[in-house]
This record gives sequence, C-alpha cells and structure tokens, in this order.
Amino acid sequence: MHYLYFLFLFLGLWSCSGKQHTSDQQPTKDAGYYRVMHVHDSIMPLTGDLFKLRKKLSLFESNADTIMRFDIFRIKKMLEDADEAMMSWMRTFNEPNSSIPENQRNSYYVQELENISAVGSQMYAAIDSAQILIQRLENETQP
Amino acid sequence: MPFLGEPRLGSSPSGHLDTLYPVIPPFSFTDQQHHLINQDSLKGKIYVADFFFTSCPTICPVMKSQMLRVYEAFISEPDLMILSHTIDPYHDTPDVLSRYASDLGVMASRWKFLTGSRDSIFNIAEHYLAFANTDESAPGGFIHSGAFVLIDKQKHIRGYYIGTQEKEVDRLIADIKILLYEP
Repeated sequence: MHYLYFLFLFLGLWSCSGKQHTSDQQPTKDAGYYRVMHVHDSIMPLTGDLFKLRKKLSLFESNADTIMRFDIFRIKKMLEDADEAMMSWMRTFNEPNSSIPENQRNSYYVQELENISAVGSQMYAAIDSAQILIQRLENETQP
Repeated sequence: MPFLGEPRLGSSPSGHLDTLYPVIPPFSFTDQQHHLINQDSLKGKIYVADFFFTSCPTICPVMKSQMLRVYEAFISEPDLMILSHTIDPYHDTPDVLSRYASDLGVMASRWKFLTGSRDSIFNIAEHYLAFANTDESAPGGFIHSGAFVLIDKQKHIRGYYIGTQEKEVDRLIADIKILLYEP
C-alpha cells in the first residue's frame, strides 16, 4: 500500500511544473527542490517511530525463545537500516548550485526524488514488519 | 514560572514530604572539544536544550539562527548554557561539531554541541520532550520538532518554545531572565 503511495506521489509531484514561488511571489528555489523536500518532510517524523518500535521490541527479548529472538533481531536490524537510510540520504543530499544548468539540476532532483521515495518505502516496510511482530509477540509472550 | 510535568509526592533534599516535579535524569555525552559533559558540568546553571544535526536540510538552519539570538542575548551570562544534541552521531563526530561551532563563531564554554550513542540521545530526548505539546507528524517528528527546552538549576523542565518562531524565542529570552534570578 505504502509503495503505491510513493509511486503515485512521485508521478504526481513530477507532473507539476514551473518554478516554485513563495506567497509573496518571490522566486526562491527550484520546484524540484520542493518536491524532494515534500517527500522528505512527510517521512522524517517516522524516525521517531523507528526508535520507539525498536525500543518496544527490546522489551520482549528476555522472555523470547531462540527463534523469536532471531525474529526480533532481524526486525530491529530492519528498523535500524531504515533509520540509517534516512540519515544517509540527508548527509548526501546537496542542493545544486544555481550556476549549474537547469536541465542538470532537474535531473538531480528527479534522481533524489526517486531516492527519498525509496527511503520512505523502506521505512514503512520496516514499521509494518515491526508492528506485525509486536502483535505476534503480545499474543504469545509477556514483555 | 511553572514547573512542567506531572508532580508526585516524595522526600525533598531536606527530608520533608514535598511535591516533586520530573527532572532530567543523569546523562553523559561528548562535546565539540571531546570533553565529557554530564549533570555535574551544569551544576548551578540553567540551560536550553535542543536537537538538531549538521546535515539537516530543513528546519535546523532556522533553529540555529534563533538559538544564536539566545546565545547573543546572554553572551556575558556564565550561568546560562546551551546544549544542542545531534541526532546523527554517526556523522556528527566531535570534530564535525567543532567545525560547525567554529563556523557559528560561538564559545564552547557557553554552547555545547553534544554527541553520543543514537539510543542515548533518543532516550534523553524522550525525557526533555515528555511534556511538550509537539506535533509528532511535524517534519522532524517528536525528536526533531524544533522545540527549545528550558531547564532550571535543579534540572526541572520550565518551558517549551518553538525554535523556528521569533516570537517564541523572544518569550524564551524573557523567561531566561526570570529564571536566572531564581535561587
């Protein structure tokens, strides 16, 4: 479901065209920049969820059997990897200088929109997996 | 000025039954000078805490300029400190934080940029932001909501301020002036 959301978001955002303007009509940054940041801002809050779910899974570790512990380890790793994917994207994202030709700047933003959308899919996938596992653990064990 | 959080009854330091408000638990982080910073480093001081990271593409630059206003307003006040915790410790090493502080032109004795394990930073953030009325769906989520947190000499939470809004930071500056006169 979330994967389709990002696909439509990607296509929808890129179909918009033109230079972005602020409310007082002053030209600011490339429209591509805002498209990328729109996706970034929509998924950045999930970093808190990734942390909270990882913390919750840790509560089950001491009472879990070997197989269950392996599942907890695996899903915690997914959450960590998704968190790191977001931080890594932010470290590497670099708004192109206005002296770079417009077509090159647009190509950069297309690529970055694809990258940040992939990060979003990774985050949602990890959250979904963690929530399913927590539900299973709550049914089978006590923290 | 109010104390924030749910009070409980307990023994005060003098041994009397008293109303106790939540305090920030002990912590230990490393600053931009590779020095260990813990509760003892802040003895007798009030401080403002926030959460940021150097590669933040959105709200951090605004937060930074607003926190600079706080720094400049109290530059000659040794009883006020600022603690900015990075939420990206993998990238924001003490050396990176040192360059960041140097670019801002701030003194390490007043404004500490702290790093530590990501879990310990998120855990302490939960305490700092426990009573903040922050929007968890805001672009930064609960930890990166842009909140500035005012802490008194006894480590009580005394105020939350939206670090991206000038009027809120004006309120913070006014509250710091009041808090500096509290025993």
